[in-house]
Amino acid sequence: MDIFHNMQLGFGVVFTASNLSYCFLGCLVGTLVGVLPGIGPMAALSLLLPVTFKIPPVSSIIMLTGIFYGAMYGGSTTSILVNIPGEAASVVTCLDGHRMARQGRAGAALGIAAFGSFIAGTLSNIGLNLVSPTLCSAALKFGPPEYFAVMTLGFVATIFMVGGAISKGLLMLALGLFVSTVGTDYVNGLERFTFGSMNLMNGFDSVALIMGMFALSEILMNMEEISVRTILTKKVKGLLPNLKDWQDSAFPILRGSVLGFALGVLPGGGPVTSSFLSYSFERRLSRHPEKFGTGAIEGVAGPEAANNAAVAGSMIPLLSLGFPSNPVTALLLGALMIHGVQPGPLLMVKNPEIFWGVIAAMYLGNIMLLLLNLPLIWVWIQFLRIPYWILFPLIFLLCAIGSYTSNSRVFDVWVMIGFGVLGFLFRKLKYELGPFILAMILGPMFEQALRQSLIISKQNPMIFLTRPISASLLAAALVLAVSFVLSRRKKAAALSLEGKSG
Amino acid sequence: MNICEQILNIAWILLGIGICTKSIQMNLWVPAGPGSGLVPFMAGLIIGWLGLFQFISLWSKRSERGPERRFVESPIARKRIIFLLLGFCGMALLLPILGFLFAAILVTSFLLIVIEPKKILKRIAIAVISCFAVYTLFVTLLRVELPRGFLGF
Repeated sequence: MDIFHNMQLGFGVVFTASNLSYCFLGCLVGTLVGVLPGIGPMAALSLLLPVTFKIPPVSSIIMLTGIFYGAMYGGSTTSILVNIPGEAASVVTCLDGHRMARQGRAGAALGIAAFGSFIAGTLSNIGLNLVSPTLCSAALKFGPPEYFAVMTLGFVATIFMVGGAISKGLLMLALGLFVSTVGTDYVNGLERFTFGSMNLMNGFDSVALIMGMFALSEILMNMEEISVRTILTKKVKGLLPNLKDWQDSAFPILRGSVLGFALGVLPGGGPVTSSFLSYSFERRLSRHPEKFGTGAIEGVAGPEAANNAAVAGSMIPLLSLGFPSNPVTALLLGALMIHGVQPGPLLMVKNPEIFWGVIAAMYLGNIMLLLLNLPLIWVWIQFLRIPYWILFPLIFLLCAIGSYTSNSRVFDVWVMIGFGVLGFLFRKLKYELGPFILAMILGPMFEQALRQSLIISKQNPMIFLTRPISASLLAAALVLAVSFVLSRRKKAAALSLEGKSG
Repeated sequence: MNICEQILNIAWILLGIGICTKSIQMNLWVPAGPGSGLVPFMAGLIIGWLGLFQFISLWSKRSERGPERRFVESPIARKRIIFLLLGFCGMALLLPILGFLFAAILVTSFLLIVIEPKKILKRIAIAVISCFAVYTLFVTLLRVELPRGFLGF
């Protein structure tokens, strides 16, 4: 009964002219971001963060969340029609989606991607609705040691889930932690790594830093790959999948929804991981695995459902624990904090309009996205024709404005440029940026939890192991780390054996 | 690329040493509990140690390496990247002097011309339209304070 009452409150918040407009705008921009290759949801969120400074917190979070799940919808369009993923979570959609388009079934592929996304989005929203309040009540029992353990688990999971070399992931995490300590120490007022600069007294501005790391480095990467795209536009017909398509896709959509939702909740998981796992899962379950990669509709339905379900899943730890499970939700956490809202178990009590408003907006956003993505597919196809050199001045200007406006300082523009160059260097050398951003945003909370725990325990580190929740979370982190290291070693050994025999 | 990797690894080692040294000066532990230097020290230790680990492991594999590749292969891409960075630096320098609108028009036009030097007038028109659109959105609609130049905008 409580849930219905709360959802009534949520829909009451969303059903105002301004919030409906922000929800629609978020979905629109998200779809655009998903459709356009070369700009992902992270870059778009960081670019648009300054736009939200002047609007109420609930509206800005509704809009930013809309961009996040809108990008998941839009990404499939580019994957299917151009064979270039609009964003990372749509990489696997290229494999079968584009094959379907080449066989003249682009409409069915686009249709099943949109319907699958809608179904998964709605199911996972229901999950979010049911799980979040329960987790919030449980999280009220959390003290600093438990928060420290949750964050440790999140860090470990992120390093291993994002892929790439473990040492590089750890390095990025440590760098993020270090960057988060720059500025005045909140406990004793001591300046850390400021080198006497007034500009660094409050640390690096997170907006400028994120913009540099994600948006500017992405533009720099795109400068290498400005290319002409071949778009399969003539074959887009029959957007409503037929009965056979539905029969083939129904279970992959349901399985993708469950898998995506579960992976979204887990620290380190998110849309990208879930879409890849869903694809391999479907191929393993299929009676005709050989069809995958040749235009199997299950290869589109499962991953597209999974990446959308993961969005709602990843909102659970963010809204209930104040803990982001992936880099995009870390950015949303940053946005909430910029607006003076502290996510966590008390969010539901202190700011119910934000908590329930965002959830209600996600239901509505899903409907808006279905309407935006199917009947308006021709509009998005036209956007695909826009050359990158037209978009890039806008991105350039948004970067300059965004980094300047949070503190009205030119210093932050330099910070953005510096971190942009660093981000470009890291991307080129295959360093994942996810662990950096997660550590940078969670760093102050991590440090606070560690210091408070050690003060409470009179400097006894055993506090983390004597409390059942923190001990089990730390044990989970250890098991995860060991199992990942072992599986990597196994893979490496198998590869070297193959190399020797080959 | 391997040279870049090794340079970065050396930078990691030096950064790690620097962070650890400075953190020790800030106190790792005080009578009340952890000091200001504890968390940065931990981060510095990981950075330095992993930098060293990566340096040694890449060094030990030097015989298995393929031919050395450039950091950015295409000369056109290299030129674009350098110009883009120059554009950003120019923007940061001109912003307080010329104000947002003028600095933006100047730098965006420059970038569009040097990055894709075709149909120059069309590119300048796009730069001017983009700048006015962004200026209108932020200053007029969102009432964001952007730096004003000598002409007042």
